[in-house]
Amino acid sequence: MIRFILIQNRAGKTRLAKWYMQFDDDEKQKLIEEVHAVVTVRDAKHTNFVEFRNFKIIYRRYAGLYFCICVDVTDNNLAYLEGIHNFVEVLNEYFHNVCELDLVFNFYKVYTVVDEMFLAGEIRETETEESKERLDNYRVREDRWSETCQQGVEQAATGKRRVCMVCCSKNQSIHHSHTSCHWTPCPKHVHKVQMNNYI
Amino acid sequence: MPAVSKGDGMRGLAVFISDIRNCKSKEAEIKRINKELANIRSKFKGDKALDGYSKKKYVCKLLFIFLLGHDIDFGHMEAVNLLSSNKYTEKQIGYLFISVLVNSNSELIRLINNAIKNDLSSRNPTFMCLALHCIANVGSREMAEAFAGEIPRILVAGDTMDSVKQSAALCLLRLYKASPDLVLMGEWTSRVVHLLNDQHMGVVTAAISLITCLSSKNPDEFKTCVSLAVSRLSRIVSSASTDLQDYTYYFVPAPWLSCKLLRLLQCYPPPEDGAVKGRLVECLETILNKAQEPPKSKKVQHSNAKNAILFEAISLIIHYDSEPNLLVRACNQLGQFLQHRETNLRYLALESMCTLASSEFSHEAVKTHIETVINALKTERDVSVRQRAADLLYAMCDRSNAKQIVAEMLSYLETADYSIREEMVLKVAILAEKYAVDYSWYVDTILNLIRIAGDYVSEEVWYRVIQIVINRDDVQGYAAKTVFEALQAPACHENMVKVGGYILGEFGNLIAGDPRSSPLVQFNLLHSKFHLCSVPTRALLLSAYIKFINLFPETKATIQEVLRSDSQIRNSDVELQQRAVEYLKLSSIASTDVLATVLEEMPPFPERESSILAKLKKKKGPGAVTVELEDGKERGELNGGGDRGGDAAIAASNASTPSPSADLLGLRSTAPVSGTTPSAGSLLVDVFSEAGPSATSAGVNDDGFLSALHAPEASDSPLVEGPGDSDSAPPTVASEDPAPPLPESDELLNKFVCKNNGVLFENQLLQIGIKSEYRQNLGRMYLFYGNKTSVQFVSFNTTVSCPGELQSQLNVQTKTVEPLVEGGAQVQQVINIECLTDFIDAPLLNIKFRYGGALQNISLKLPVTINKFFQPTEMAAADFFQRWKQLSQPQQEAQKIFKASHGMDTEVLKAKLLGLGTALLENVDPNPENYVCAGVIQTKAQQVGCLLRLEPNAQAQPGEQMYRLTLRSSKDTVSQRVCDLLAEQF
Repeated sequence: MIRFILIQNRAGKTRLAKWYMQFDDDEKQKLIEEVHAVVTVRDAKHTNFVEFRNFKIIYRRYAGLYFCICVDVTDNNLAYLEGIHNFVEVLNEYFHNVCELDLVFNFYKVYTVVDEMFLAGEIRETETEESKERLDNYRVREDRWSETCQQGVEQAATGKRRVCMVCCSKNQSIHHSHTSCHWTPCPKHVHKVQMNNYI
Repeated sequence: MPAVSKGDGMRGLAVFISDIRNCKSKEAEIKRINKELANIRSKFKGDKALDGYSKKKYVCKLLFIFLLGHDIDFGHMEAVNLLSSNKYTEKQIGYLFISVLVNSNSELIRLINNAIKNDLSSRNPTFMCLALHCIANVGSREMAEAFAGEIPRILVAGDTMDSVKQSAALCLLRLYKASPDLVLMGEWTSRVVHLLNDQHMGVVTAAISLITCLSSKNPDEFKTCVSLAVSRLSRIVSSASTDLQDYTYYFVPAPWLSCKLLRLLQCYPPPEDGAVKGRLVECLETILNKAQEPPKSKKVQHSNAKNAILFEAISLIIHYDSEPNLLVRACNQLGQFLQHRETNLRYLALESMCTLASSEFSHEAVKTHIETVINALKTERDVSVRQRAADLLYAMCDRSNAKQIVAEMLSYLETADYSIREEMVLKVAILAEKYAVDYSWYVDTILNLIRIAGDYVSEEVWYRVIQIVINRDDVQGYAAKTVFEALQAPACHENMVKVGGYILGEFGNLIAGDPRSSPLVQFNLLHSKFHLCSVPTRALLLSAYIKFINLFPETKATIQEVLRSDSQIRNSDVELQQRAVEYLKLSSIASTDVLATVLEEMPPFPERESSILAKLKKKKGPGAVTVELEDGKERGELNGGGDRGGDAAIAASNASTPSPSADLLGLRSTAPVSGTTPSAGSLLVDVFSEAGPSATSAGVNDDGFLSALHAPEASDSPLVEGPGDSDSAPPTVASEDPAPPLPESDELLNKFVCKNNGVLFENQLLQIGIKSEYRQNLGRMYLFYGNKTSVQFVSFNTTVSCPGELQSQLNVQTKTVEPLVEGGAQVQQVINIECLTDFIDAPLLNIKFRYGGALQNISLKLPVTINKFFQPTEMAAADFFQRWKQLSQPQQEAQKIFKASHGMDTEVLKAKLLGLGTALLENVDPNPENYVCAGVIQTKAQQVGCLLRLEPNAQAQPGEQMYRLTLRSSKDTVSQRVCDLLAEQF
């Protein structure tokens, strides 16, 4: 079974930590640091599997993010490796070209996606269309938008004004166009890497 | 309207997150967070009621702050409020907050459970899923208590939506793992198993995890899942890649589900039903065939998904270990992977092949890949892959390829990663020993091992080579010659010096004929290493020197000169100094005959399991070395001379011939390393074979025993009464107060309520065993103190005291013991006990001694309990009930209802009740499940009749099983005490 799922960037910042067994807070912090130390030193010639304490970590790197799943040593490595990829594909669909900042600003939605796909340390759903549909369904239920957001989106849709999704500042000059996303990063934030390129 | 992926956000939250990200320093971040916390707090406390959106936003901000690593001490209530919102996003944030910041605040738990209950009964699938996910994420016992009954119903109900079923299945799995006693499948079992047939693949995917877990715990109840799983698997495997459209992943049909199905089958032996088995074998063959087909896609996802199934199928084939054809095919497939360009596949193939190597059907097939594996060991870049290669070489090793494999591992050792060297060394040592045909090869190998990786050669390895050389006289000459040559290297490892010193000291004479290795040359060679060595090695070398004096009288003068030098005889190290002095004296005064006897060649070591093997097992955990255990049995080739280190053998030879030579060889210093508990534990073992011959024979001479008990009492004997008067106790110890009883002493006491013999206490130094007998109101107890160390205990003193009113209730007499307990020795102490009247407390036993100068002070409770003075009383049913009624006053009865902490095995229960000392009365209680006992407690002052009834509810589920214990006796304190004592026993 899955013991925990971690998404970290290269600098070791945690973008998601989902625990399926009890650890106290200090232990969690230690695990996060250890995983980072173990995973970031490995290169493309290495396997995607590392022995870790009494478990093993199956990990995969997408752009600057490491997706790590800690499982029992007897678990099927490749199944979980593809489990990661499947998860990333769903995130990508859900966020329309997901990038690291999507995970930061929408952390609460990422938890929903995780619960949709993994529950109680087991794979719950593997079908991306199904997951996406259900997640979209949730989105339709979004029953209240803040007025500004609504405004921003409408204006963005008509191309009148762009709102940077990173800093939410308005009236940014258009620098970088995003195919499906009408919230555009301002020049200050275009550095965000599209993970999509790596899938 | 275009996709509005970002429109559903909370702007305030986004602004806050941006602010945090823009903070230049940690201080700025904390400042910003504190500002936000103050803001949220004021909003929550404000008069104006917050709308759902604001509440959601603030709770979400709090969550973000918590995830940044800051403590959150408010907002829980607002989060709980969100749970009852009708809006999805508000509810979701509420549940998320609860899941992440679980707080076992009892008030909130009740509210949370209430909200969950509402959502579960809402029939809104989205809300039901949210609630189920929350239970699955928290998984607390309170939640299990509240919902373990409800969730199976949701899981199997016909009108439950598929997505809810998925969540319910895994939610139940979580609760089952956390609180198995609360999740009772019983009536649901067959309907849960039939979820394997569900039309919706997602439901099957989720449910199968639950079924696998339940099957591994109760295989019999779930065994119908095997045929269902096989047919499901067969449908998936034979489907075309487009059949299961939604569940096809990169042209592979349902890879995760297939893996889970194959994993479920590994909980069971091969199906007995021929048709099912045939179908399964067909599936496995299809999976193996597909591996050979050209890939349908070049993407790595396609091959990974396909191979995930393949590896799981191979695991199942290995698990069955009954289809030679499939095993060999699996092996060939893995063989192809060994040279695949994907590192992942090479790694997994090596790992999987390791288990294949242990199957007799595929062992030969695995061996054909030896060259590839050796190559992997040499060239892989990833150390974990190299390690798997080394594991596989070890697993595939047998007589035919041992020399090649050992040679390759040795040469790899020179460049091996430091992290795996020690394990490699152990493996080489084991293989070399196990497959040694000629022992000269073995000796060469081990010496090479020491030469190449001396630092990683543990004590066990070099002990072992010495044991083997001593036990096999055909290799001694060769060994002497080889170590002599090895020692000539300018820099040789200290372990080499140890082996060299030992072997030349024993067998140097075998090569002394050659002028190039004449006695003096040998001695000078050894002595040239002396000054660079650590103290233990020097001690060993000194022993080798004295052995030289015996072997070669012509070296006597030279060696005596060395021993006499200031650096030896006045060495600051006590051990070295003592050896130098003693050896010098021995060589000067003893006659040649005496010298020859004392310094005789070491006797062969007794044959035991290899200590190296034990060490590897400890390193890798059990299971890792099962291979060679079987091999060893099969080939019967484990060498002689195995022993847990040398010291036990030495102790044995010490006992047979009291010759000091036994510990002359420095192996004595190994005691702390190898003196493991099992060997020390055997010290007392024969005394305590319960109900063994010794116990019965002691019981036979009843009369003598009893009269002996009476005698000292009547004549006011020389037995020391009580601890205080013991003037033979060393004054240093007497001045020190006895330690308070050990915290576990009550538990130790409970262990002996129903038995009279056993080990009362054990730590690293001392073991205390007990044998006791009781008659009427008298008892005699033998205490055995075993010194587990090799060092003597001095000022050994034990006292028994009766605290408080116990003094007037029990009369305890002890004999003093000798103040000196030799290393490995055991002393016995007799304690006579007389029960004057009924009592509650137990006497205290205090043991004091000095071990290496440090005072040890241990206090225990002596297991003397009131029930020891029971006389069993047989009576008929009518009698029993009459007496039972007579004892009907409320204070005469004591009753306890308690949970069973062990199983309810009838024989065990009976044994315990008999051990209590009462008579077990059959056919008295109308309910045959119940136990009824009767006995009379004998004290000097009075006799107390006692009746007992124990009612188990054996039908209850494990974990729910309870007992009701009722005691009636003519004395209230007795009822209560016996009841208390007995309640701890079941």
